Amino acid sequence: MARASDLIQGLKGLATLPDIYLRLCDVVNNPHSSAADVGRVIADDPGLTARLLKLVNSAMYGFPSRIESVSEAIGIVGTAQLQDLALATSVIRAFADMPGTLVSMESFWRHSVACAVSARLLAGRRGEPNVERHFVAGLLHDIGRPILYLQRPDESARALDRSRRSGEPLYREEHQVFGFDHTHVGGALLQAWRLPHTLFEAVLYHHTPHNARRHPIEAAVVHVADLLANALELGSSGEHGLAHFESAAWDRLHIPIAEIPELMAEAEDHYDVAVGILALDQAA
Amino acid sequence: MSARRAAAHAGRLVPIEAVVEGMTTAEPVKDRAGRLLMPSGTVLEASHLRALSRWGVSTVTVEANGGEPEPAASAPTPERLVEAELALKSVFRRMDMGHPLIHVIFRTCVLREASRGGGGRHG
Repeated sequence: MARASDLIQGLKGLATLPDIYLRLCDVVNNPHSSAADVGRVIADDPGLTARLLKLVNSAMYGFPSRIESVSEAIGIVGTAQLQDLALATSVIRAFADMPGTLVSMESFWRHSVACAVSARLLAGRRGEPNVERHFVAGLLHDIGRPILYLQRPDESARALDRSRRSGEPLYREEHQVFGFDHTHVGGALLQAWRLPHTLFEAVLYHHTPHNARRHPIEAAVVHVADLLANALELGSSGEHGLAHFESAAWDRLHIPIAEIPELMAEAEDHYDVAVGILALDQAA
Repeated sequence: MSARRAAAHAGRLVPIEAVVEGMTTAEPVKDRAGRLLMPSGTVLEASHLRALSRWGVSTVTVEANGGEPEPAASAPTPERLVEAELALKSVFRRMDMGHPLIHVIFRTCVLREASRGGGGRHG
């Protein structure tokens, strides 16, 4: 039987991350580089610069005055978080050319953005310092799905069909058909991209957060954010409705339940903002 | 326009707890450090209200005339709530509805669905 990583090797153009992100990693991880060096790399890419400035000026941040330059944005958001935002916009662009086969890519990204903004808000409620890391984890959580649909369309259609008939969550039917599911494909892609282990565990274990050993909070945040995104019915990656819920993951977050209605309203606001800025249906 | 100016001068000071969506600011809103948050004439939306509490604003001067909020959308009727519950049952079909988190998410979705009227659902 094929392995999840086999599907990654056959991907054209997606086997590596966009150059801009790799250059950004180099300067961020270089102890001798300054915020100004990071700013220069970003400023080299006008599309990225425009998106980042729109994001930090949006309702997602709620800063009182306008942020006019990348260096100001770095001062406020921080280099690590800006790096994560750059990753988010780079990945969407890398996937923009992928054909929507069984599920439209627009619908897929809408679900991904709904999960991303929910994850970011949940992390914020916990007082996590790196909310953008959670945003990226949410954005990438189902990234294995379009790869499955592209690389194995017939079996994927069978899994979708089985899930519709049986009422079982789609990821379980994927497991029946492939011997693995989209979380393993997504995990393999993130490994191929050499992304941080926090993102890897959040994506690999978003349906089974109890398995996350090193980064249980990240996996739990995406697990609950995925529930909220499916409950709000904003886009879909192929699953209809809430797939599966591990209450231990929710308990781990220590967020008062009373905050959920407001968080969901905020997620819907942020979703509209992020969809507009990440321009899901137009090439950059 | 002078009539509008007169209305602005007739603004009333409202504590943040009593500020609701639809009110119009009669004076610029500033944070404690004096930074401008919103100009006068801003029609306050939910996002503004959140920003006000986030930036520690305790009072806002809103227009006394013409600045009253639109009458709030009427609360969903019991029929609409029942319809919304039925429509959302399939979305939540795999969930343990007795779990407090699932219960709250479900109620939030029902209210959202019922108050936005028919035909808005997708997915």
